[in-house]
Amino acid sequence: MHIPDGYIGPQTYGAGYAIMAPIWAAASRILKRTVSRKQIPMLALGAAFSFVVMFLNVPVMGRLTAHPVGAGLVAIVCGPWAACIAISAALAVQAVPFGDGGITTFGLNCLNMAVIIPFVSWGAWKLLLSTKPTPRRLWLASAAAGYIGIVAAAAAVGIEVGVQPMLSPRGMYLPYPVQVALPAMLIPHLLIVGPIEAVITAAAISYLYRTDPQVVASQPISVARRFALLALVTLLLVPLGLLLPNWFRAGAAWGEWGVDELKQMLGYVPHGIAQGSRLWHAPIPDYAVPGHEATPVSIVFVALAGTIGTAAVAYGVVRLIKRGGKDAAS
Amino acid sequence: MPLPEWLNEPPPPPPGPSRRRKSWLTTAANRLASLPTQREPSAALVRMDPRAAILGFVGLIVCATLLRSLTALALCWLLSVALALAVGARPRTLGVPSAAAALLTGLAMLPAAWNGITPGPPLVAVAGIAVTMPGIHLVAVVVLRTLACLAFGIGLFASNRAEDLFAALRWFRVPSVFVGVLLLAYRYLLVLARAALEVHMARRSRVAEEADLSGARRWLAERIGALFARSRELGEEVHLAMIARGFDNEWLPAPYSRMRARHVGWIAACWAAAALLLLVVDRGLWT
Repeated sequence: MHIPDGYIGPQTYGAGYAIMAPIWAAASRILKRTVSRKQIPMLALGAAFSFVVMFLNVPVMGRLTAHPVGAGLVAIVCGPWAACIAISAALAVQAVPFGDGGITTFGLNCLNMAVIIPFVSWGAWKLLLSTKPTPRRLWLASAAAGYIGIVAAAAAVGIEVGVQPMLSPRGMYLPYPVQVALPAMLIPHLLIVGPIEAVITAAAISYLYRTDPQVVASQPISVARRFALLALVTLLLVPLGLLLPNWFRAGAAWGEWGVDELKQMLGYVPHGIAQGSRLWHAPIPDYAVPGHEATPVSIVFVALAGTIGTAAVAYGVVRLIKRGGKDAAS
Repeated sequence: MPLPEWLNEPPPPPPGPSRRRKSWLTTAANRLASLPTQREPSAALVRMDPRAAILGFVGLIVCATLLRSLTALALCWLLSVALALAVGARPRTLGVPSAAAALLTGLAMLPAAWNGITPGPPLVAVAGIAVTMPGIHLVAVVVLRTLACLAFGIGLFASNRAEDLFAALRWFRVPSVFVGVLLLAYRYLLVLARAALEVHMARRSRVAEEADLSGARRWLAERIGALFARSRELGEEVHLAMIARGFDNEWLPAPYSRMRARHVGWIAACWAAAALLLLVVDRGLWT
């Protein structure tokens, strides 16, 4: 999962640093505020732990081995922001003294392993675990968290590698398009590396729970936060839902045909439908920014704007209802 | 009284060297034991300012990632090897990772030589599957670029102690929490690796035969949990030791002095070499 120097172009590794700079700044600010000085050595040992764990290659089949990352485990125990700093430190130690992972690609490697894995694993763990975990539920939630985190990171690596032919048409970096790079990263992680990470995370968390339940004490997560996490996950899956039909060359949903599609299917557009279609022109048709074609980034941007707008309207309605209730009570 | 027959028999030959394959747990433990330790820098190396080393080497690495032509990349690789050796990297430290990186990158790039990925005039064709000239060129470009970047990275590590390089990140406005965690993590890496090795040795000395694969996996997962618990205990011990030595929660290293002229000269030389490679040799400007 470590991308070395030279594999990807400056647009991608530059974007990696641009994305990571505010995340590192936010993580540092949050940790300065929330973490006592006693916990700094613990974070450092968490980083050293992650480094050591990545050295343990577990045989999978034949001579094929896979190593756990441990980022999900650190995130579950220390929290995602602390894990972000700890895993970034582990990756820095790997990149500079040991030459594992690149220096130019350090930002991207941190994005994949120090942000995506901890936040996805921690979010999944929080979503799946109730306030009073049983050992079995704890095991399952931890396994799912470890699995989902590593698979999400693998998908991110596949996309980062897969956009190279688009960004560098002269083909000076990895030449594999998304259709090749994404399955090449996802299949081994879904089938081999993911289960290993799941078992290791679950067994380690269960061991910690048996020896010191406070270490993995689950803080109750409010319903609002649960919904917010689900909304975030759904938001991130939006491009997949729109790109998959394109991939499989599926048409529009049954009965949701546009005017052009109807014309293609029937040979003409029924008069009433043609008249109705002129009544309202959507400002953002087909989830594309006006004047541009729909891309995964624009789709996420539009989905984000739509989510915020919907949440704002819902919030306003709830406030109005609550105020009406209070007025009636008084 | 005559000796019994069985006592007159010659003793069986001692068992030969064991041909049993090393268990994967032992292999993992050996990998941990082989973690390279930082050697003391020589007097010549101490003289290089870590900030200058970072600026110079990182500039060259960025340049290497921008190069396209084989000539420029070959020159860049030669320069990286020469610089790494000049600042004190051992040939073995340079050679072993370079060979591994060349092999891995070559394998990862092998499909790129195929006409399905990189179209072009075929070099060798068998049953519709052809290795193309642009494909071979691309494989060579990526392998050379990776080797050059790796050698520059090794040169950077050899130019200073890792602690000094990490501490110098404060000068680049890297948050102090991150630098503090980085410095402590590097310092306690080997301590934790030793703890992991001790766990493995304790198991080997108590268990007569190796567990089956699933049993060993389960054991390893639980030991990872134990290792994490150990890292937390160690964290507390480290914190107490720091308080005992008067640590006042200040992670900032001593303020840096202004860079000397020769350090500025080193940075300028590195960047000039990078510009020369990129603009003149690679892009052919001013020729």
